[in-house]
Amino acid sequence: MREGIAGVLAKLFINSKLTPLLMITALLVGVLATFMTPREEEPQISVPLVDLYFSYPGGSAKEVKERVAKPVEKYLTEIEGVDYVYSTSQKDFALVTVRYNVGDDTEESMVKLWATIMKNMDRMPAGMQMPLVKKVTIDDVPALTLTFWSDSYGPYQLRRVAGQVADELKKIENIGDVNLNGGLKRQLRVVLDTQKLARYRITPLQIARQIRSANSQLTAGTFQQMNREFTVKTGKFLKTAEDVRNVVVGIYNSGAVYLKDVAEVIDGPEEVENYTFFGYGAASHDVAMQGEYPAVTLTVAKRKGTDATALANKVIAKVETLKGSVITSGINVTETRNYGETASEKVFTLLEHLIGAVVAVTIVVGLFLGWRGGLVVFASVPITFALTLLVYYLFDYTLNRVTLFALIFVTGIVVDDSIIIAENIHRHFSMRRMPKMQAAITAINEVGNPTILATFTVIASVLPMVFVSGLMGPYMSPMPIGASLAMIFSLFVALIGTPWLAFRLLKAEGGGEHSEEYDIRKSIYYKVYSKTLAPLLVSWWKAALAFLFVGLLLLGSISMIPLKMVELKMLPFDNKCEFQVIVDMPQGTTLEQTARVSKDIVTYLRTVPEVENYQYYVGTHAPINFNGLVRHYYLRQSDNMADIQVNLVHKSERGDQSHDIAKRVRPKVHEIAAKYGANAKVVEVPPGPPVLSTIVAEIYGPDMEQQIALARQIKSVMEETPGVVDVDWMVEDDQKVYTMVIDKQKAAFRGITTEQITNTLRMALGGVDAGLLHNDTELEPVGIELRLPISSRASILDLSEIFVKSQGMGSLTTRLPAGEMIPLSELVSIEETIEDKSIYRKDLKNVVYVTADVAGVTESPVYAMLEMDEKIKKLKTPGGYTISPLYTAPPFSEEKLSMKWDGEWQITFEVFRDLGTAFAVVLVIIYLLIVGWFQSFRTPLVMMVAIPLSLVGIIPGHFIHGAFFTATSMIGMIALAGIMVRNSVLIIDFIQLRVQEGVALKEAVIESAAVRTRPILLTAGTVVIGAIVILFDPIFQGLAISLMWGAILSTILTLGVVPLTYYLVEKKKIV
Amino acid sequence: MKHTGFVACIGLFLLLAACGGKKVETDRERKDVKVVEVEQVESVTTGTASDGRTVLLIPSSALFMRGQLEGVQVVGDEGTVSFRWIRTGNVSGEEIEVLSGLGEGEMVVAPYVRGIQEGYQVTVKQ
Repeated sequence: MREGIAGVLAKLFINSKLTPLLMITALLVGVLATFMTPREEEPQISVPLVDLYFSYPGGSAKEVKERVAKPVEKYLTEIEGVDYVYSTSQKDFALVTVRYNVGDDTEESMVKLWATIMKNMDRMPAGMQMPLVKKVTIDDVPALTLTFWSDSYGPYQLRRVAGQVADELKKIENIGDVNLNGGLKRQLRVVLDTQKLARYRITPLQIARQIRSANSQLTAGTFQQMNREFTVKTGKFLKTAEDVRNVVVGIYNSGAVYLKDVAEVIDGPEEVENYTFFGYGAASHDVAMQGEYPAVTLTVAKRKGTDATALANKVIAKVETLKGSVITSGINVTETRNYGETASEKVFTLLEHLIGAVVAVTIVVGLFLGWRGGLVVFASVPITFALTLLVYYLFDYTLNRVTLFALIFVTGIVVDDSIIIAENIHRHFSMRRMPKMQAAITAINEVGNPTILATFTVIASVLPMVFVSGLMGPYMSPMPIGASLAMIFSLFVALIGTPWLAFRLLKAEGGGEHSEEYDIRKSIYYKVYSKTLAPLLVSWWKAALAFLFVGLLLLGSISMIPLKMVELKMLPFDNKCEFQVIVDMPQGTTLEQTARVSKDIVTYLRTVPEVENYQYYVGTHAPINFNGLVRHYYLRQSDNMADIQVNLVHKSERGDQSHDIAKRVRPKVHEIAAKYGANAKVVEVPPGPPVLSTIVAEIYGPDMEQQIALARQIKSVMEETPGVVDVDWMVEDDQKVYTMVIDKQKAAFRGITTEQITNTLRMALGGVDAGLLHNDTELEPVGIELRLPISSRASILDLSEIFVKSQGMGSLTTRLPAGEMIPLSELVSIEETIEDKSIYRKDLKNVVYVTADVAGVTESPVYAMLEMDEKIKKLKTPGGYTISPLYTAPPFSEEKLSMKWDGEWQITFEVFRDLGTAFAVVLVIIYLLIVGWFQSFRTPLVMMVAIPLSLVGIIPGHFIHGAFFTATSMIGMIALAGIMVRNSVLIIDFIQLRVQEGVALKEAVIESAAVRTRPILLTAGTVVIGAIVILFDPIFQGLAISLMWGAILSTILTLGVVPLTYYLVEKKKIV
Repeated sequence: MKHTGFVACIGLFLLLAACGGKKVETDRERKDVKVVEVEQVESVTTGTASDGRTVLLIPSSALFMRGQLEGVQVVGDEGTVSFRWIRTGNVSGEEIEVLSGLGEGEMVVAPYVRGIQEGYQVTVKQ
């Protein structure tokens, strides 16, 4: 008998005193690693995403697009590693977003970006300001949010308190960005009195200039005297409101005019620019608190690679100590997000799953091999996991939902090596042909080497998943890496630890020394095989019938997919504790009106039985999550926008999953929103990588008008399609604007420049920042803002009250004396126009987006898209051609109108494409591995017959559970390919061994099948049990179903089909 | 014997697997609606400002402050009260201009009544 690595290793360690020590060390180190590995919610994804804000004052949207966005896009796409460039051009402003390839180094990308921008700065139009470059990373997502709310304090006091708390919290180590959402800042408001200004002949521009120049202080220099050096300072900063009030703004009738004479200076909250409220829902435990309360939310982000749980606990402890001093009574602090807690919970759920699986596996093994056999297996699993966790820790992985998935995924597989070895040792002990020691070594020799090969086939099957590209890549890669490592460790444990344990623990079956020798021919397996398999071996037509039967099963299963009995979906929704409602009112809606709609929606939402609490943010954005980060929700700061954050009770306290709740509330939310002409979307946290929207239709074309016209048609197609919800488009409604047209000639005659007029109007309406109050104790900067009072702004169109002062000869256009006060009404006329619409571009093409989500009738966007395709093809275009939606790439030319599906589809397409390719590579690698082992070209093909058989279980399995065939199902299927091949390897290797020993082929086939049935059933059993524990997890359900049903069905079929095929193939060769 | 055990085991797991999660009843009884009697309820009217613009007006007494926020108690269908945050402009006599947050014809409690909470029902004193 050949003695391979397995036998050598086993011989070395089976009696070594080191073995138990090694095992104990591994276990201890692993336990330590489990507690030291940082825990967090989202996987560490490095997707360098950079926002560039270009300000080009005065430019119309089209001009901004041509002058700024286009050239910037052009040179940015030249940078190596840039994946996408998006831009939005609005009046005065362009936002360009650059997305690098997933996994690129952020710092390096930033350097490249800066270098490129700087290089091209001279090509940019005059008047464009330096761009603001902001890097957006996953660590910007707050891991913890605390909402401060109060019955007695207003948003101004709340923000001041929260600001103090934020300042204190920042001292905690490993804390990232601490921010405040909502509330009102302190501001020094200079409210101008137009009548008084006119009386004292002072213009607003003059005041701004005076405040700015009064607010200065400089170190003038030094002088020496009497061997000492003295520093001289001049000027004085404005420190208090009183200082500002006493600024001299002009001279009138030989007397000084102070600011207090012409304006009211208010030190206090800024003008209301957001409404943020907190309230309890129906499921709250504080039933007494029924109102809604002004709120400020403090958000805490964490530093990269640190433990969210530890940070959250520290922050909460710190806040607790601040209660009573900084946080006065009457202010309540509620935890409104805690990713640390959810991450910890996930880790512990996983540990529970693991323990549950190990215990269940032990019981099953115990049933077959006796309790001692069970114990051997029981001891080997924790060691494998301990080592894998250690490697995670060493490789700087964090424990998040993806790495945990990898561990869950391998639970059922890692025990297999140990089971196979332990089972064979057990069998050899029971045969009693040799002394114990020799029997053990022989047993290991017999299965050890094929086990090594088999382990590598499983690794080979999962490893290609590393190559999944795009955003899904980081979600996938920890899986093959973790699983491969776990497999290798399990192999070592099986070859080193298991023999040691088995040698000491296992006893021969049947107890007494004198009982009968174990004979395979007497086992139940052999009897079954000789009844079923033997006839097939003899009669060709029976064999053909069997193959036909299996073939039909396979065809039947596959046809369930086109028949829509099993639907495909990228990833199902996770059962989260939150969802958001995003409210968009038509452009030009006031803050209060938006607040009113939000409030109406909230009044409904709070009655939903599962709602714990809610916060709504009008005019500002809610604390973002990963989804919001990618969708740029942090830019939602206008008066017509509101975010509603809804927190649900813990999942153990509710029957429905968050997705079902979201589905349930959606129609009512839409109904309320529609009443006000608002667009409200119920947004859930996506389980996988976030996209702009689940369904995105990108409309390309030669000109904007046509694109919008087509978009409108597609939008109505979406609205009519059942199951498609939350339809929206990125085309703003017409917004009325007043353009003040300056009579240039008149202005020139009166000695007034255009700049004077525009600045005056800007100050009157939008307010102007006239510097900062130099206060030593304030945490947030206090700005000095000049503005007309809100009451006179309403009548701005009556311009007779606003004056500008003639510059006289200074303007170089007139000889009239300077100083004359001229009302604006003399110089400007008012025109009503429509505001420029934003222009969106993606990868240098103009695009109009129509977005939607799916819920209800169709849960998978693909089916909705296919359904809509038919309707879209019937749409009329100006050129008379038909639109056939594109699926994979944007149109090659923009000459004609065209449409491409994007959103979740794009990722689905990439993932299934990459997984498909990976699967093909897997097959080749497995083939190569087996060819190398068996030195035959034909045998591997026989073994790989088993691979498609897993579909017979997988697809009907999904049908039985009514589940979607998801990406995790696909992963399960790929892994099963490895497991099935391993089973075949073990059977065929044993057949060959028997044939070498001189047994007739037919006899060898039946005998081997019988001998191998027990370990194969056992390993399949463990896979099934490992899968059952994750069956109720919404995301992992697909994997569980694949593994479970795939393992059951394909094991049964493999045990018949593989020996049969092998016999038929080899028969001729031997005869 | 031990094999039947194994089969039973697998069967049991399959049974477990096929069962769905059980529903938890979370419905809560609605609280009784409280009814409050108020002095007067006024409607939002339109008027003309000094410069000729059409403006929305409410009695100044309807306005209450919550910290820095201005609000009114709006009486909706069936007399149910809800708070509404508004923005106000010029005062003219007893009335104040509403810049945003209220629509014409809506009813507000004027003068506002301290202690009324959202969801209360109001009736006007005869």
